[in-house]
Amino acid sequence: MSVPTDLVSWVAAGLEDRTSMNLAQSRGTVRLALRQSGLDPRAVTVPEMEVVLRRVMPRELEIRAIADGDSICRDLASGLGAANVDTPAPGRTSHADSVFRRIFS
Amino acid sequence: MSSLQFVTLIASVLHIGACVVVGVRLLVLARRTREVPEFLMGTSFVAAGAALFFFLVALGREPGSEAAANAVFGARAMLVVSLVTVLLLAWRVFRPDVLWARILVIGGSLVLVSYPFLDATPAEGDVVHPVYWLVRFGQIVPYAWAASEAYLYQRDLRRRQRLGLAPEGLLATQVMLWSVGLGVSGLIYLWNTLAIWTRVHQGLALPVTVVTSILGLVVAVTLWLAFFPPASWRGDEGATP
Repeated sequence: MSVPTDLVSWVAAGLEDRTSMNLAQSRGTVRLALRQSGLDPRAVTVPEMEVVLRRVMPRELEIRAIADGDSICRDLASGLGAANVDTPAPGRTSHADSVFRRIFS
Repeated sequence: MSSLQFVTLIASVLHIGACVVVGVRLLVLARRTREVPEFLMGTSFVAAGAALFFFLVALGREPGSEAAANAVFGARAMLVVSLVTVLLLAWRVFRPDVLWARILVIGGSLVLVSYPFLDATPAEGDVVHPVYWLVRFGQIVPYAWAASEAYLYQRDLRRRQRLGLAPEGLLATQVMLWSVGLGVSGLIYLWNTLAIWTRVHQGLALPVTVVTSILGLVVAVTLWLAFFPPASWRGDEGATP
């Protein structure tokens, strides 16, 4: 298996290792959790992913009848710091944030 | 002047006033920041206000006169400026790296710039070239697109705020109000285009003026609240009114 270079792939690979989901299902679950958190999967940062893993992903795993989702997510979140992944370029969300903060200030 | 005409005039003046005040404020901001989005948004508002003003001028002139034709040309030209800047704004802010957005902006702009040169508004029974309808209905696209993008953006912003991933504040509400203003502006053009369509094809008379005035008032109020929110909203930042 190749080493994941982006954050979504890293988390998806971690979910694949720890659950019965395959890589495609894991990726879909991660992307869905990010969407439900208002985040762009192409531009999510490590601190944002940590929040998603701790507060959104456990519910997603519960919906998919995956046992012990809390502990899996905690494990993944605590390993994020050591993950060797590319830092994303600022995405459209952060671009829009800065534009609208100026415009509506 | 009938009471209906008076109400229409007041609604139009308020609509124009909101567009111009907000637009000028944004252009002043753009001069300070040297950033493109505020320039585009400011230009779109000022041009929309100017277009409405020219349409009012045209209504006050004798139908078919040269003065009326010139005012209609001015209104249509200003409307095109407003619509093209809305397209550019949606692309620059929401989809800067997306190919379909670039194609939409280029294609949409090419269609829209023909609007000032189209024949006068068709009457009942006229045979109308399909390009006329393409351009008329095409006017709705910039507002519909920008309104949808703004709605999705504020929805995501609220989700991030709930998780503590974005600062609390009024921003999501302000973007929502702007989105509503854009959407209702699109409804105004849709309504007026449908009115022309039904007049040409079925001879139906729609209450165009009254509905347009009400929608114009909604745009004025939403714009004003988005850019000049009440102090009570500011005083309780984080609470959604």
